[in-house]
Amino acid sequence: MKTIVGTSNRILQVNLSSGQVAEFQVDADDRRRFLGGKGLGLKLLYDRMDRGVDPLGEQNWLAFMMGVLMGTGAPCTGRFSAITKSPLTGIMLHSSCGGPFGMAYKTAGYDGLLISGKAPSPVVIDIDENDVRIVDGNDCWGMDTQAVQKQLNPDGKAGVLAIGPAGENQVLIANVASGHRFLGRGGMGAVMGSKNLKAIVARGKAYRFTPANQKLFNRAKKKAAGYIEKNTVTSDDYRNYGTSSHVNWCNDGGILPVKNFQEGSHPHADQVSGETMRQRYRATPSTCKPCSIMCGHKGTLPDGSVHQIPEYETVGLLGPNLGIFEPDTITAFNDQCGLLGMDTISAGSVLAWCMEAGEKGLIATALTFGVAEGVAQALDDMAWRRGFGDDMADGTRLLSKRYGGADFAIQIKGLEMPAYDPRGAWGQGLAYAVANRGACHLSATTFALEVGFGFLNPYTIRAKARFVAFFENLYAAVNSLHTCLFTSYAYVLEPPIVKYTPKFLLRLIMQYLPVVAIMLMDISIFSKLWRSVTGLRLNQWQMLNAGARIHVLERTMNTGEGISRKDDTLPRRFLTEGRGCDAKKRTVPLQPMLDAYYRLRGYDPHGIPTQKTLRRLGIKPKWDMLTDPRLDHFKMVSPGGKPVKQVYLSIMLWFVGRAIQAAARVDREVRKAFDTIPDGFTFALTVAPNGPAMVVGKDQAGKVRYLGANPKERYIDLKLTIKNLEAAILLFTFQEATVTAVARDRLIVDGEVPAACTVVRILDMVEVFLLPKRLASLAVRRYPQWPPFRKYVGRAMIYLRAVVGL
Amino acid sequence: MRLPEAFSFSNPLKINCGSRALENLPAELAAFNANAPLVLASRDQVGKKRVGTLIDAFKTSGLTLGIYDRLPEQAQPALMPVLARMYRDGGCDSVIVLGHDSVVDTAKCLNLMVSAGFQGTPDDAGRDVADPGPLRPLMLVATAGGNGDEVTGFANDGVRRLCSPRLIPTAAFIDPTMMVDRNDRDVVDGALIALVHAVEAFLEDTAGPMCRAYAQTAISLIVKHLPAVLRKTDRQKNLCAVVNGQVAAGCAFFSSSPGICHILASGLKAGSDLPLGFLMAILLPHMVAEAGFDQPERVGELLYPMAGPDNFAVTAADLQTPRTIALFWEFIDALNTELSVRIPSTIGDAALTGGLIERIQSQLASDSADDHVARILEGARHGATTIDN
Repeated sequence: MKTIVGTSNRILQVNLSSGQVAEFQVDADDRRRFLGGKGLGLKLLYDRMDRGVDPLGEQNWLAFMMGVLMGTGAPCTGRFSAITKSPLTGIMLHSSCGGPFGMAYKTAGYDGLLISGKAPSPVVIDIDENDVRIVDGNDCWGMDTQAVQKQLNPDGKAGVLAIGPAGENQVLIANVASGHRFLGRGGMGAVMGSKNLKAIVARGKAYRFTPANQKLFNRAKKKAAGYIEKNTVTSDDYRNYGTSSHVNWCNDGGILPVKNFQEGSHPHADQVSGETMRQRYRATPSTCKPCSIMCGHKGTLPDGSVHQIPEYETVGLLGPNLGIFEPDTITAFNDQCGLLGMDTISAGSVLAWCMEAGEKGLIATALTFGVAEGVAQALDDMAWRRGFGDDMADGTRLLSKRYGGADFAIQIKGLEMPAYDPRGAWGQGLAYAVANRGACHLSATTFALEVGFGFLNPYTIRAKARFVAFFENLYAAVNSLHTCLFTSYAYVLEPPIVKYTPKFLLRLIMQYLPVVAIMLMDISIFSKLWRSVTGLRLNQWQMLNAGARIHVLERTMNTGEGISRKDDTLPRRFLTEGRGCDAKKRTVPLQPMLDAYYRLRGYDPHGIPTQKTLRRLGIKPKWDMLTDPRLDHFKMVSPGGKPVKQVYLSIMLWFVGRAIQAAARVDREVRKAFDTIPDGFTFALTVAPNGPAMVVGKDQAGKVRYLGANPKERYIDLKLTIKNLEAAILLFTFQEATVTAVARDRLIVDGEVPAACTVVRILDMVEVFLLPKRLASLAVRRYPQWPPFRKYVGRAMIYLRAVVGL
Repeated sequence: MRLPEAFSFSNPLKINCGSRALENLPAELAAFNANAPLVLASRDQVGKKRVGTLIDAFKTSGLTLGIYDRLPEQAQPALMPVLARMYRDGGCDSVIVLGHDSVVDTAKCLNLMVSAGFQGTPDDAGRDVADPGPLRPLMLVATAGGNGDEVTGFANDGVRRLCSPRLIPTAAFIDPTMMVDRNDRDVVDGALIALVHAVEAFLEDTAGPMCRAYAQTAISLIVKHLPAVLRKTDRQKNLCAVVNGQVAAGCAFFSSSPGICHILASGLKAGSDLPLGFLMAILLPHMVAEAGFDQPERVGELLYPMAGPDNFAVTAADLQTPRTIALFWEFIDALNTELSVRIPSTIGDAALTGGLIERIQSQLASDSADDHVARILEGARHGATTIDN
């Protein structure tokens, strides 16, 4: 076995139309600026591809790029990147994958493989250290992903990258398998299928890799391995329960997708959690190599058969999101998708859309939430493009275009959303909206900070833009080094400065001083590993800057395809509907976060990287960016609230509500007034929009009761809505009488006029009881002449009863 | 009051006026199911502070606003696609415009474009949508300096003058905090244009009682409050009243046809640096006097908004017309005592050439109006009004 110091820098370039194979060396400057993996792959495609290329046409390129850490023995580095233009989204697509192919290709002596053109008939590319052969693949065509890997690699010594029937049929959500791991998202399999490329076989083990600086590497590797062992997420949660350990905390945090993201949590969620599945299936590791986290597991079903245990995203989208809480059923769907070569996230989202569209009568389908029957057939139909499956194969964006129901098509830029509901983690909402490949949970994982670790308040926009930008840069770099993203839990949280800072202080700094929090973060372990292997200089800030360059390059390529602010959005459901589990029905306030994010990124208000930003990052624009200097002055603003006035009004309404209840018991005139309105009658005084409120009503026995501050909980017979907070302040600081406010159109009255007059009269009487004459004279139209006994004794009684709540 | 043989009247504009009127904006938007407005303004016209005040009105609303406050004071067709992109990218569903004149025209044109589905992309070029259907809600936050044209269905996109009832804003907000302290000349100019429009609508034969009610309100508010604005007494409140008058005048103007005074002054504007309102004011008393010959009763009724009900009641019917004309002169004199640049009393003082006047006269020559135009211009040359009962 020959030895390579650092990395080979050799890239193969295969044209399937002509059968030509070429090889070139990575430019040293490109290596330094784009690191490798995702970054280098994007740069190579940026140089070769023009905008407007048909993703399923001959002009599209497909890049498989290895990182420099692969083959060195650094922890969790058995991953590689694939980059192409996605047929599902029409924009750039990056996907990361474990499995045996990467290591086999790297040890065959190459750092990357670029494929263009289209073979006239099905082919397989067979690569070893000496040769590249394009061989007939007709005998493999039609096989599922596991069968073809067995056929092409019977002794298990090579690494195979293969598509299943979904890829062959150019299903837009088709994936590519490497062992039991997948290049899952965006339809990478359809791109291979469109090129008539069934599989790539890499026969490696010809080279071994030694770092340029062995001493530094050993030190960094030891530290990295130590961090992974110490971190509870990597060494306990993932190692024992896999990523499905997310189920329970996502359910508790209300971000579990249930019934096409309608609910947010479900009482049966634990049935599909990693903890339950480990117990049920006697799980053992089945993972990428080399890996010390070991998040992948296989397990034994009650019938004795051995299966891959589904990951969290698969569980979420093919389980609760379809209303299904049977782990065996989800495992079966996972296997089926794996064999057919289809993305489980997108497939689950398509099925959920069909179920809801069926409920709403948009399509005729037997698919129903909570019913597993018919799902397996639908998956098959999708992969083979049979019947309605042909439409489903194109993803939710095109489905909803054809049949309606765009409001509940849970996709962004065409890519279906993973299993974290952004209404319970607003930062994740921003991360989804701005992620380059569409709804991607791996572009920036703020859901972990917001719900998993509780470092950030999930229901505030504060600090979110900065953390999204930071994690985008970090993950772009990590995917270029290339190592597993899960190492970041250990490498970010275990260095002493984070580990030994009290959690409350960490929370405060992250929420209120995010710049300081990021400055203090020690993520140098990543850059040390890369530096030790390549021998090139790189500190953590240079690495993050490279990450920013990679992210913005991808954005630049996407803006060339027409992506702008209009696409950086969330499905309408997340902007207008609250979750079933959330009494407050919170939605994601996206626009102000988007503005802050664009400013941090150096984009114009339409989401286009400015010339200045491109110059700063050293990206040469290939096409006009459609920027206009006038757009710089466009901004989105969320004006905030008036908390003091809100609290004041809440207290006043609460007290007046209780005082009305007391007055009805104490004063004969008030009781008489109430006698004119029927039993069971309820009225509310509210402040629009969504301001404080009070609800008062008569029960069936005719007793007047204060019914709380939520008018949405019951049927309201008469609703007096003060149009705005300032008008309410005028009323409740006694600057304006109720009748004057009505005359000035500050109140909207919904209900019967006689009842409204009675209520206003009651309010006036209660105000006379509650307030001294000077104030009450301002508040009521005409101050009444009451006997002193009625006024003063009544006042004392009403105050007493209002305070104690009688 | 005479009822014309046939008339129609429609005005969809809702007016919110008074202290904290702006605070009603979120509720008015909600009434149209709109929750993502694009705010357009010209910082040069209204100042940064007032844009801030407008944004503050959305506190507690929970809404996110798109804001562009750099509109030019003249409409620019090239800006429209850029604004359409802002509207699209901000996910907007309605427009709020703060200001007057061409700023409002720009907002109306934008509303027309985006309601028709234009998004400011190259694909939109060449699209031709004859009927965009109902437009999105357009909220006008009025400021001093307008002339009432803001609430009409007219709009100028910089190239063409468009007209459609659908261009009328959904609601106008007249809030004292928005009364920008502009220079007196601009305020008087806009108010005089509105006054002339209202007087002409009032005198028009075919104007129905509703149109006359708007016109009467406009005349009354402007005549009473404009001099007070110039005297700087309770300026904000009086400006509010004048702006209300301008809004009422705009409603009346859009329901009637442009009169002789409007047309003549627009023609004369080509040869003069004077503001249009000042030119109209030169012609106004002469136009009223001329109308007094044909329809003395109608001109006499003008005394009611000009002098108030008491004075109207105690003035003999045959004296109402000359009194009305005299009040117009008194009104202009009252303005002149406060203005640093006075309203000329004749068109000679306005430095307009005889050639220009003859050209205008010949352009307007027609069997019916020829004599009237000649007499109005003749009167305006000499600066005296002949009242012949």
